[in-house]
Amino acid sequence: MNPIIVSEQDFVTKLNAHQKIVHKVCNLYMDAKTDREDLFQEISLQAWKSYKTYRGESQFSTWLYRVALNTAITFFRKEKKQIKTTFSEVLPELKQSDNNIEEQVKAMYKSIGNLNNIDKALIMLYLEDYSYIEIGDTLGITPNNVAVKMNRLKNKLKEETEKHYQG
Amino acid sequence: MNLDDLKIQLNKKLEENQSFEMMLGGVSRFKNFSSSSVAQKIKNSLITEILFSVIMLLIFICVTAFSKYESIKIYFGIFAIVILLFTVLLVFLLKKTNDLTASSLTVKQNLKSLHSLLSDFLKKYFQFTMLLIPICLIFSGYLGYTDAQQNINTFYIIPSSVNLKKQMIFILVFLVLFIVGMYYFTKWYLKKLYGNHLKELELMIAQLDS
Repeated sequence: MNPIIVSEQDFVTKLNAHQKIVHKVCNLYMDAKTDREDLFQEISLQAWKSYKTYRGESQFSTWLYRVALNTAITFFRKEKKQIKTTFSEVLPELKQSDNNIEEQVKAMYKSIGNLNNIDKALIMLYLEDYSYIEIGDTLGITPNNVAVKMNRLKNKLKEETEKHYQG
Repeated sequence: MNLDDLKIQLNKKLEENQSFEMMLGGVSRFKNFSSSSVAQKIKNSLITEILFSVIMLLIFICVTAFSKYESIKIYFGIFAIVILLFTVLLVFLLKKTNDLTASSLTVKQNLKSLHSLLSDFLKKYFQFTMLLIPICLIFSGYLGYTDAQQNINTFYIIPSSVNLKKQMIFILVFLVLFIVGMYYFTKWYLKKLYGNHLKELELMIAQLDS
């Protein structure tokens, strides 16, 4: 296989086309706006550094998910004085909604926001409709382990969401 | 209500609700961004260690070159070589950490690589520091004794008028305090620099395995 020539323009075009992935990861992992901006920059930087080793064996979106999750999971918030926001506060349009479904989504969001970094990664890939095999490949665990974790997580989220929703 | 019932809405909202606009420009827009990853934290710590080692190396070389005491020259000269070797080890580790920046490994592999890199470094650093203590003490004792034998005008911490028994007790207490102090100081120092990173990595690997 011929090595892919790393072109800055090519990378930026691809990243622009898939930036929703990065936004999703940022929204899921960081509460405060400044933290999300920092994480966005960090993921872009790590993706650029890793792009030299990208051989096109997997889809760009799959590869970007991997880089984005690896970066988000080990990302350290910079010590800045900032107003603490909660996960649900990044969803202003859901705040005063009377819509039942939206309230449920808000409650579910809150529960997902309280999960640990690894569980958040699982949920993110699951919401993307990745198969258990693909989730396992990205996280480095077996599909069986993914299935067990997902089952456990679904139950946990259901319980937590009901608590939030009723509360 | 469960996750599957809300899957579509959740996915849509995650995509839609971007409370910041970050359209990408060229690579130069994020090239100079100061990174906050674990690997970057390790790199920063290593760079600090390397700078500190270089400063110490220069001081030791100066002491070796300009001291009027032969024992001091030998002592600092040998430790300058030791620091030089340690600096090479740190540079090698920095290179290894730089190579790890390719974060397209699986999440578990990435966490394990970072953990293994960090714990290996901590283990070697601790062993190296502990090994230096007896070498340093024996060496300084031997050179001090040689100076005394050669009647070289040496600075004595304990005045020679103090009797031998008291001198021995003082030396023994000093040695115990020094060794225990160095042991706990090194542990504290390493924990402060890298301990939290290591704990977080261990926790995440355990979460993946559970």
